[in-house]
Amino acid sequence: MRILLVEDEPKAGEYLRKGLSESGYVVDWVRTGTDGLHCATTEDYDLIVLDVMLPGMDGWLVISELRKTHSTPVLFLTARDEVDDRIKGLELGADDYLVKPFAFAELVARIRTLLRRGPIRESDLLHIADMEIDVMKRRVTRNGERIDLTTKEFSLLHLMAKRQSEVLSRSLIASQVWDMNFDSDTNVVDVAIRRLRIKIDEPYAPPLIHTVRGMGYVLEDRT
Amino acid sequence: MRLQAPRSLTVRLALLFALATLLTFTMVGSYLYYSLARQLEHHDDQELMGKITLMRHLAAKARSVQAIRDDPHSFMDATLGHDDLLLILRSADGAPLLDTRPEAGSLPALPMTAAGQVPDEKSRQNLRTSAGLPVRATALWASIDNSGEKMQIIVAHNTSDSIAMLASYRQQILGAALSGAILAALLGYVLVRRGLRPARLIAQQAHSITAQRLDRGLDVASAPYELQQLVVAFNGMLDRLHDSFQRLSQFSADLAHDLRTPINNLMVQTQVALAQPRLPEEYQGLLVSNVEEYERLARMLDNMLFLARADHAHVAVAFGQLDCQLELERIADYFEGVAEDSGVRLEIAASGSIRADAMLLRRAISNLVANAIRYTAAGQTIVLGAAQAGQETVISVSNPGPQIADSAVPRLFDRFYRADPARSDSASSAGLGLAIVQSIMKLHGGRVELSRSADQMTVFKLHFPADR
Repeated sequence: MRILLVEDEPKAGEYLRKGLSESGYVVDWVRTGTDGLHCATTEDYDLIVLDVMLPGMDGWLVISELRKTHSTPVLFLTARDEVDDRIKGLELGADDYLVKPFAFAELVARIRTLLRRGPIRESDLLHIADMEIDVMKRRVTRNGERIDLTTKEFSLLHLMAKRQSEVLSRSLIASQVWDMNFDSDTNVVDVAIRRLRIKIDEPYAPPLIHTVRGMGYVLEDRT
Repeated sequence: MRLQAPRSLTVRLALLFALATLLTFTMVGSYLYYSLARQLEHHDDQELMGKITLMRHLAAKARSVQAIRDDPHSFMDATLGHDDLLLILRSADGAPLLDTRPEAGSLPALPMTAAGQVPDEKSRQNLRTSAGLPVRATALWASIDNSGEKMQIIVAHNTSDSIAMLASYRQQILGAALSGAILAALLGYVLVRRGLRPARLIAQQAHSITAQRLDRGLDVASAPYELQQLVVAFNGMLDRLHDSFQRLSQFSADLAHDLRTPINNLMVQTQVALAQPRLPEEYQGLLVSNVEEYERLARMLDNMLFLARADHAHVAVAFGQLDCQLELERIADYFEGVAEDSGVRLEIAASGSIRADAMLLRRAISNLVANAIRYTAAGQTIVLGAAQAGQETVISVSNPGPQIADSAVPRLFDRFYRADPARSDSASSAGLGLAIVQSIMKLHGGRVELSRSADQMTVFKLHFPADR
């Protein structure tokens, strides 16, 4: 998967290139809007990560030029988070929008979602190691034993299972499970994960829910 | 060019004084002038009537018209010593018999009063002779008893003296009125200036007020009665400014503290770690700790931006009809785990619906609930309520717990304010929660209120106005 990164800030460009390469992507990094547009139109990329504030030719201009010929998915990065700016970006043809400062885990999650292309068919039956989740019946078993979960616990587990191996940030979890779309000072998500762990992980081996320090949580079989 | 009213109150009042004086003097002067004119005329008329009676008597006693023509002396004698009197006698056919002052010229025709009748007001007229002399004249028929003949008598009184006198009187009145007006203007100016001195004193006091001395205010007692309202209002404004100013200073002090603490932590712990080679686990530990501080800073920044935008109503509010019970259940769900961990129960007693922005409403309520959980002891119950109260929908979050000190209440909704001055918990809460609740309520046209019920509950109430 090739990603074009257009970012003028040297530090930001450096860590994004490094982080994305480590996540398994081939990353080309350019520093100006003009170069970005040139690369995007002459070469073949699966996704473009585009900063809005660029010298010379800004992100808005790059995408409006690009959209005349290409439909490569574009993820905007910006420090501006006013609603008007978001609407403008999406209207110009951006596929997603991430406001700085963002959690790196969230950037990777968004990139994965964009690269999945098209709706994926959600399976009714999910398997992770010896855990089975029956989405329709809202039933969870591990090692053949039935585990009783509350509605919210089930939603949380379902979200993590759907996006297994993906690091989910706390704000993403709060937004998806409780529809709370703001960062709060409370440790609600940590508490919920801990309670879920007590039910699905502690009595069994191997543990499936892992804490990625400083980033969030991930559900995967690491054996 | 449009005439502009003078800017100076003093000049304006002085000019108005002058105008009033001029008007009064002019009216009084006119009254005196006309009454003098009437008196002079009356005096003239008296004299005229006396002469006419005398002339008629002389005519009646004469022998005939011819005798008068031959010897008019008795008539001339009657006018002797009256230099300003003109006497013209004519026969019935208009032939002149006598003219005592031929040099004065002839008189225009006058209406004749019949013999035996007393000349009335109308028969007396102010005229000018052909030589230009102003006179008051009257004409009448007289009959001679002896011969039974009729004759014309015309008597005129020279009024040029009266006219000259009235003219000079008029000049004097005009002069007096004008000088009176000027004097009034000057006096008015001086007196108004003196009268307005208290206002200048107030201005001087106001000059000495600066940002550092906003609390001084103006002296109400020394202000004149009419200006006391103004001074009281001005002092009220100063008090409000002083209060805002203090809050602003406090805000910058708090802001400095809350931003410097995490940045200082980051800097120092990173520098300490870099001072010598360490194990990978130690570096990892440092980085994780740093990420936590960064997240805290990012959240604080986010909250502050939210507050700044809410102040200028830059937050788009997406109103929708929300069911109170469902919304409170969602919040209770969200906090379920945290509440259970602290051994606190959440109870809902709600009814009705509300027009609000779902995300902002959740943000406000969750701030209140997070606070309530923090200050409620294990085993106690927090009640989330919603009820219709008149035109408002009131959402309340009540928790038993330590009472908030009276002194803290007015500042509770200030940014960065924490009731605990030691800020021991500043890592877990930035002190912006209640300020955000207040901003969200303002965006909804409502208000937030803290009350403490008799049964030792701390109750935060969100008042939402009825549908607009």
